[in-house]
Amino acid sequence: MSKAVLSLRGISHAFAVDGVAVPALADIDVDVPDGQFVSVVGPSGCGKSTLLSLAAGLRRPSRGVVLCDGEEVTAPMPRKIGMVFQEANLLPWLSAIENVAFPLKLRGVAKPQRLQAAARMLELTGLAGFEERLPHQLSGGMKQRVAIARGLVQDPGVLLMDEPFASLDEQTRMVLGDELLRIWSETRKTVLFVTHSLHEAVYLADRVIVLSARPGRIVDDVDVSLPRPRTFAMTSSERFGALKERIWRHIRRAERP
Amino acid sequence: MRREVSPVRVGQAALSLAILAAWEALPRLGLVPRLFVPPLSEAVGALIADRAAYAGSLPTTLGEIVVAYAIACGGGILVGQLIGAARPARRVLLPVIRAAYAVPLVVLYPVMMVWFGLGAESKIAFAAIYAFVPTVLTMAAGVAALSPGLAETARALGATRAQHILYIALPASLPSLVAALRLGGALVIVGVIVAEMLGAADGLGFLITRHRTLLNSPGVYAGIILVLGMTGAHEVLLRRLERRVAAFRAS
Repeated sequence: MSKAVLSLRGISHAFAVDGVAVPALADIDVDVPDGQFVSVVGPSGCGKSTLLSLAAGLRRPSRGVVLCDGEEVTAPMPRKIGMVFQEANLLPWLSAIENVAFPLKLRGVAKPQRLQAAARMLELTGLAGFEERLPHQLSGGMKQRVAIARGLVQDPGVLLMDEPFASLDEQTRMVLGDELLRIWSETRKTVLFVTHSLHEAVYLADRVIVLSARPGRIVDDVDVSLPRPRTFAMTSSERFGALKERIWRHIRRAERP
Repeated sequence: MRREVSPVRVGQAALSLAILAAWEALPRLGLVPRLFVPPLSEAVGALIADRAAYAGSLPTTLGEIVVAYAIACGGGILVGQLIGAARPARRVLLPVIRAAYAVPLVVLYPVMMVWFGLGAESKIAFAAIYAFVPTVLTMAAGVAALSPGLAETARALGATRAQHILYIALPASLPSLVAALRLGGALVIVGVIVAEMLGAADGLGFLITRHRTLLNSPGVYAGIILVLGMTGAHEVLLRRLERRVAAFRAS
């Protein structure tokens, strides 16, 4: 197995709510090897989004360290770690291509170069021809494609995705899932993908990490040994069902009052 | 390209004409005493007859407005941005500023005249302070309304604090910046005129007060027409700015 690109070592995290520490995550240890697609699932409020924001360097964990390429993550590292949120969060006054190029602008890349890179990313995400559209002229799925293109434009090794398809309708979700797998197979990024959909988690990933109810601990680490490329037909296979059921048992236990 | 005349525009023009017609007709018909409101034509006549005096007062008044505008709106927008962007500052300062705003500032004007004298400085100080607070409040409210998701995304993309303000907070708050200018600018004009009316040796407000003491109503209204002209011109400039900003606006 190739070496870990992203490592979470002994992570615990607590939030201060009215001066009281509320634990959100406990004793998280994960090593993600280069190029692996990992889904993170868990009951609602288990801290899976918190886990992602810790990995992104948007927060510092109360205990433990996050390592990316062996370097401690203490702040966002946009050149190494790309991020896609549940909401596309595009700048409404910038066109699609300018939104994708925005991280490069922050880094001071000259305009022709950054627009060229952004155009490539829009092509990769299937949005060639929509470069000049403003966000409000794009559908929800297209906005999320722009957000993915923006997350990839600096060619980071790691892509963190926080329920990126959660606010989309079912069909768009399925289409974008397949698109994400195609992009992933072309770019071979290491992906950490938070979702509340067990189906999506199994369908997309090489490996599914299951968290318990708050404070989130890792209760299972499931190897999804389904062949690639994944197809819709696989989702009705016995193996797919067995994997989903195994994960569901953990979640059900946690969700029970 | 020819632009269609919208029904809204027609309505606005009709309403304006109706107001002007009423201004002319009501005093002439004796429905409004001429001392309170002289007919429009008499006010315009007074403006033309005494044009040298009115024109002479404008440089003083406009000069005061420009300086007070720069202080109130420039400073107000800057402070509003800073306060709006920082939650602790917002929570500590905004209630205090709002409370301070409730004090009728005009009672302090005599004190300002003692500090700054009878000249332009006291008018500038009064109008600038008078318009500053609403400008700050409007701007801060606009900045505070910035989506937190956008801010977090910017951070994840590697934006520094300065880049965040320049590329995200500022463009996102442009519509409220126009609103702050609109309010602050109008209040600066009011502030300068009021200050001149309360105590000055020159300026449009001073002229209005002098005509009022002489019970020369057409002279008073001639001055009011000029004030209306100033606020109208200010509004036209802001509309222009607003159109430019509209391009930046979200759906």
